[in-house]
Amino acid sequence: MDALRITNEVPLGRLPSLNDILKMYKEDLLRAILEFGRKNGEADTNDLIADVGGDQRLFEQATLDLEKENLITKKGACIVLTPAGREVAEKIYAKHRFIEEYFSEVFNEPDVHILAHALEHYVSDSLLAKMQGELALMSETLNLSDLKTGEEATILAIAVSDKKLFSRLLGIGLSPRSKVKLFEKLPGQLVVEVEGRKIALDTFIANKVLVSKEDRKKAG
Amino acid sequence: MESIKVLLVGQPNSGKSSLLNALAGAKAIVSNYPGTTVEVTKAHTLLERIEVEIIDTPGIYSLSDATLEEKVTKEHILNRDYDLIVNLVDATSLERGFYLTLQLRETGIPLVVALNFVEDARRKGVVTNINKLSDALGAPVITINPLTGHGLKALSLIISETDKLQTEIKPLIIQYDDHIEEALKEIYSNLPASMKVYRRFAALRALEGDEEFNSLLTDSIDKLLPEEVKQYHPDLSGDIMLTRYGCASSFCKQCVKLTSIRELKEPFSEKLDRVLMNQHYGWILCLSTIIAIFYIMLVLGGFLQDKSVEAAEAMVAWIIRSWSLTGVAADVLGNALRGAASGVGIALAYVLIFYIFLSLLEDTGLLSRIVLSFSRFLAKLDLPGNAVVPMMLNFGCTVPAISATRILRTRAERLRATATFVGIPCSSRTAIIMGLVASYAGVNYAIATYVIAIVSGLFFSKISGLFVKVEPSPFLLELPPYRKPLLHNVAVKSWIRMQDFVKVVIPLLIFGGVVYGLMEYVGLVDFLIQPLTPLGLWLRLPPEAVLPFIYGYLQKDLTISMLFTVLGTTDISSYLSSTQIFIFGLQASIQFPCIIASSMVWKEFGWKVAVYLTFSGFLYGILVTGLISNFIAVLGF
Repeated sequence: MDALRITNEVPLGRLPSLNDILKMYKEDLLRAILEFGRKNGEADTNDLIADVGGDQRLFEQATLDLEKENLITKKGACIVLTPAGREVAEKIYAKHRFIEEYFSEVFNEPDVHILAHALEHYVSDSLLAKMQGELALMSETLNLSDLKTGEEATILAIAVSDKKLFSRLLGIGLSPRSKVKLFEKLPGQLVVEVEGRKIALDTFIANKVLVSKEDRKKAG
Repeated sequence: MESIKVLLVGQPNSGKSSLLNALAGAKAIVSNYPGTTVEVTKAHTLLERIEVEIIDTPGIYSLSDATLEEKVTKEHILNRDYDLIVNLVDATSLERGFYLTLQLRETGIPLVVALNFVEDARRKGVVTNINKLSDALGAPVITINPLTGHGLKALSLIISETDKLQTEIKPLIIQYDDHIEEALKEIYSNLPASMKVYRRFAALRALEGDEEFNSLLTDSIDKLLPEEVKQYHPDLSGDIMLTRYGCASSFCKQCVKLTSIRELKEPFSEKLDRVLMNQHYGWILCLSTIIAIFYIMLVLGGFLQDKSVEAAEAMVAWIIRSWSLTGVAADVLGNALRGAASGVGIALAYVLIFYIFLSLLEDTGLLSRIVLSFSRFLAKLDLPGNAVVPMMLNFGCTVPAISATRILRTRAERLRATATFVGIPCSSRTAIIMGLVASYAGVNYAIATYVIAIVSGLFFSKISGLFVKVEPSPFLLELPPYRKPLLHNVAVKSWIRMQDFVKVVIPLLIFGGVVYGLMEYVGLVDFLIQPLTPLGLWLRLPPEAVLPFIYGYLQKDLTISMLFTVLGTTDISSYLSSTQIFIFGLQASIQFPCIIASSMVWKEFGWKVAVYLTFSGFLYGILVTGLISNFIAVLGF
């Protein structure tokens, strides 16, 4: 039950209290311990302070709390997660990564990780579930080949791993957020219209261009 | 500044060659980029009383190296042996055009942006605020129209003041997110101290995975990148490109006003596209276009050929008579003249017509529609869609077509495409089919030769698939809007493409004629014919008619004139039956075309492939043609 308490969101609608700040700090700290642990095997106290920020007092208070809650144990200058702590940290980490992914997918926002850092503390479990539902819906998005002749859609993402092809697609005008219209379906090929230009591509590429038929204005 | 060197850079179909022609006229020189057929055009002209050299680079969508065009243009841009870049941007598709512009601005190289097709854009309701755009880009922006001459004066003035721009223009800095900036700093400090381009740009290229810039780093990029960056940006290069595109898009939004346009009825170009790219019958129309072009070539080329061969024969007779030449002099001079006549008459007539049509198709925008519809057919033969480009070029000449297969991604694809050239006729082989088979045996025989040759070539490529397997590669092709071709442009382009042909082929033809005249005089010819008698038997041709095949391999355009020569007349019909002429044309068409093409294969794929293709091509041609010849004989025609 303790574990759940710590991942509860900070309440919105008022300035964060000292308690809230400590809570956020503890969440960041757990995630940092997990990340350093994965990288180096263990998390050094100095590294943690440098990464999470905050002053020495906050750090000491947080580690003391976390130790009391039986989420971490100190080993000399290093901190390791207890099994329970690992579980919580992984949850926080997953949430962080998800929010980052969400913002990059939905808004195509380059500064996503900063947003993720800030917002993860405020996102409640129920909102998280909603966001996950939304993203799942997106992952069922159509691709260009699913459109019918004459149909218009907005490009959401281009799932091409070949960098050179990706660069060409951007240069030719097939980029996230641009409007695309299916001009004609040919066997194994499509002709689409972007910015008033016709572009022919094969279904191999078309299948990787994810589109949505409705406008995604609600994002704002 | 004594003379100024200007680099024209822009996306495909942004009107670069029109601008070059408007600024410099027909004085342009095309230099095929060393080892490739990607054209780089250079021209000298006087602008504002200053000597200016303009270099037109191949059109590219972005500064990358996915395609050959991109590699060539990138190399030109990064070489920095010029003073100014003129970046041509199509005003009807600014957003994607700016992507390249932003990349160029990031290099820090002095640049002026020339917006083309502004009137078209306005008709579509797109009005660009030039001043705002210029401020945003930090570089001068002007509107031009190479067809009317609008803006050329302003452009000339800017070019003439290049030295001013060189000090004024600072690199454009696109702000990437913190992690990317951090990575840039890291890479930046690991790059060599002095570089031809702005170092931030070099660092960006390295992060985007450009091998050339990666190799300049002191360590591998993977080791240099901070862990955190890798974690937040698993696809770093993609994120950089997206940020840049976002920036291009926001520039576009800031500087472009969309006005409402009257809803017009569907323009003719849309209707044309609906027909040409119709999934059921579009390809029939495209194929008909090609067939119509070859038909016009046949009629027009045939007329020109008759006239020039007649003139040459008359001249040979007149010279021999009036100078009372005999023996070796008569043989050598007569053959040299016949060689020249066949060069001018057969090759020039057909090749020039072909290039005029090719340029016309290209400039109207029809070519890419044709490429599209052929690409589907090729996919069925497991040839990649864009193989249609070297294959179209092969209809002109096999030699450049072989190097043009470089636009294909893998060696297997290139080999498979090259294998089709064993059968698909180049213009020299077309000239044989038109000039010999059509003229002396009839149009139906010519069509049959053409069809059998093409099918044999495709089949040969299909068989070679047993040895070289092709992995499918992505197909992406822009279909540019239809534009009225500028006849001047078409003429210049065709003439430029002809120059190589005139300079190389005609002297070779004359030389071939001289050598043959000498061989005949010495008596080497009979000696050569002797061992070929069995081949003549198998093909059911007279033994001396086999000799032109050998000459044909040495120089394709000699085939017909050698046939005239060995038979001692241009009145071939009295020596050979229509079937024999047809078989002769077929044998001359189905083989690896000439020694120059073989050497090109050697250069591109190594000597083993060259030997394999040449010999298997010969044997294949002899097999196919002989079978057909004997089949006809059995049927009793």
